[in-house]
Amino acid sequence: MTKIAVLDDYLDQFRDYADWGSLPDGCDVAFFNDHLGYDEDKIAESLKDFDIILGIRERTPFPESQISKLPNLKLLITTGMHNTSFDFKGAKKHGVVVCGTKTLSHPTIEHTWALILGATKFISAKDRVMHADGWQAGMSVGLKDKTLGVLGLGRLGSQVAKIGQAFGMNVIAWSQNLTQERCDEVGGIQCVDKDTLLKDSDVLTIHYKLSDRSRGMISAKEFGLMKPSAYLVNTSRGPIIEEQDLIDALKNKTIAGAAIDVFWVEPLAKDHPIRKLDNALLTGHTGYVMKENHEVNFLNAIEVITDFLSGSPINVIE
Amino acid sequence: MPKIAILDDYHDVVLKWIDWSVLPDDYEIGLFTKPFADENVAAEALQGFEIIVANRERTPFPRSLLERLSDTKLLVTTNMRNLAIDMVAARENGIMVCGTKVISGPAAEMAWGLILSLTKKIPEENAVMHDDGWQVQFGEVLKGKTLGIVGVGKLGSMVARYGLAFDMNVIGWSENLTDERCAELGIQRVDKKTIFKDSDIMTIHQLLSDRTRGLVGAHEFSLMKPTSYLINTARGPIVDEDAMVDALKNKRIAGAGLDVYDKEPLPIDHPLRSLNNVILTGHTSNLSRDNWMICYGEALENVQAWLKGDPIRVLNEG
Repeated sequence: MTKIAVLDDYLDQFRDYADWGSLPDGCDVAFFNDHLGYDEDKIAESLKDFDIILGIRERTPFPESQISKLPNLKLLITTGMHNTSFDFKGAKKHGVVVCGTKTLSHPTIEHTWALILGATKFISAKDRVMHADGWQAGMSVGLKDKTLGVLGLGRLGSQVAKIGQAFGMNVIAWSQNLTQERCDEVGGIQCVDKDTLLKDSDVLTIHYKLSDRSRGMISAKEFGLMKPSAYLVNTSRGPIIEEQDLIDALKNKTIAGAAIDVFWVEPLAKDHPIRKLDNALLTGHTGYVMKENHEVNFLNAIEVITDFLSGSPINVIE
Repeated sequence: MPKIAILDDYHDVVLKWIDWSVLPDDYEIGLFTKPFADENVAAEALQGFEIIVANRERTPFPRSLLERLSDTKLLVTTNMRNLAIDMVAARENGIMVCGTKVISGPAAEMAWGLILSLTKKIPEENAVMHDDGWQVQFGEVLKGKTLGIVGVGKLGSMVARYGLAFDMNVIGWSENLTDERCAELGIQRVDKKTIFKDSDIMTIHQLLSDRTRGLVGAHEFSLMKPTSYLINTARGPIVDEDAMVDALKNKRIAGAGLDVYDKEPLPIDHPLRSLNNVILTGHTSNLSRDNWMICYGEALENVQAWLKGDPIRVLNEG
């Protein structure tokens, strides 16, 4: 019997998104709807019997200390091929193989734009008054001819940039190693320095991997350079922005608003101060939470499990 | 003392953003920040005003009202078209009507904002995040879906470009739409029945006319997919509102994103306000500071030109 745990199925739908019955005989899949929290002993208690654990992105972290408390664990899978909350080396030390799955990039690109338009058109606030007895709430901010700043012009950033051009926006970009050549490859984008990116952007959107280099990359100093009319959008990873500095910038109207899908600790604490801010448009890391995406994730996860059990693992993350 | 009325400035910004002091010193400005309850109230309130500056169709000026405005000589409307002013009746009653430019692009951006807010469930997600929740439901992907555009003029073309940038399959229909026009944009021309049957998202970008009034009625809703969304940022009466409420209540379609209505402001007890599969905004697509500066800047120019005896942008010359 191979016991498989699928974690963090908050919306209780993963069962329907793949043909789990197509797993080899002897596989038994359990779905966990509630987040297991951050107490390693409690997590170990819940997961100690499982041979295989499928985690959804960084929702439940697996540092070495956690992995060492799971003696039956043989295969640890993350959706996507990156995961900053899994310790790959630590897993190897304990004989646990870590694999990833295919994932779609366009849900996050689309979500970024949903946040940009949601924030600049105040759609949620307007919809709220219309579902009561009001009529209008706030003016919109036009996007055409405004400047879109893209922090990180990789796979996601370049697609977000292309859409900005379709909206008639002037697109500028910066990252530590970005060259004008790369910008020309994407087409029509101006490579600027970091200060210019912050000073000139009407909408600034972050598309950076979380690393020691990018952690806290947007802090009080950076907010100070931004226009008071600017909007900041983050669909990458929470810690790229300094938590308290964002709260302060929003409270003090250093910037006009922020649209945030990713947080410092997820799920976001129930009493977190950002929940109280009117100029924050918030979604709970739902950028990739699309039926279509989970179908791709789980179809591939079933292949990963099947191949691992047959002795020739695929999608191994070293 | 000559008097000038500024109507329907719901956000109370027209006097703050535009410098009306350039008018002769003896001009007195009457500011109206709320809609008139009815025609009688309007007629009474507007007695004694030589000049009226109206905002689009917010206050209708039918013959019956114009005949009672015995002091009025000049009626300025924002926009170069206004179906709520009886132009002939104005002329016959000695009232000159002048218009202004408006930026029309914001309506296309608003349509896209509504599409993304609907498919990514932004208002619901944002609402739980501003409470103590975390994730409500799965979003939907746009890539690969079919976007149907009814009316491929200036705004419809902009929306077509957004759709293409999102890798959607874009189809268009209107009575006079040509293959050539569609080829220019890279979209496919279809017949009326097909656009209703095939669209996952259908968005309306036509002018209101006798030909387009009630264009989308019960029959059209019956052709649409149960998973589809209807977006209207054009004019309310293009859609048969009763048929739409019926289709939404009975889940004939998945939802709607609406900025325009038959009667505006939308009546407080209107059934749309209590439906949970609609995102509603109160005809706000053109409400942006950029746009107001243009509209009211030109409105002021119109007043100045008229005072000099050399009127500009006249809409009801004989």
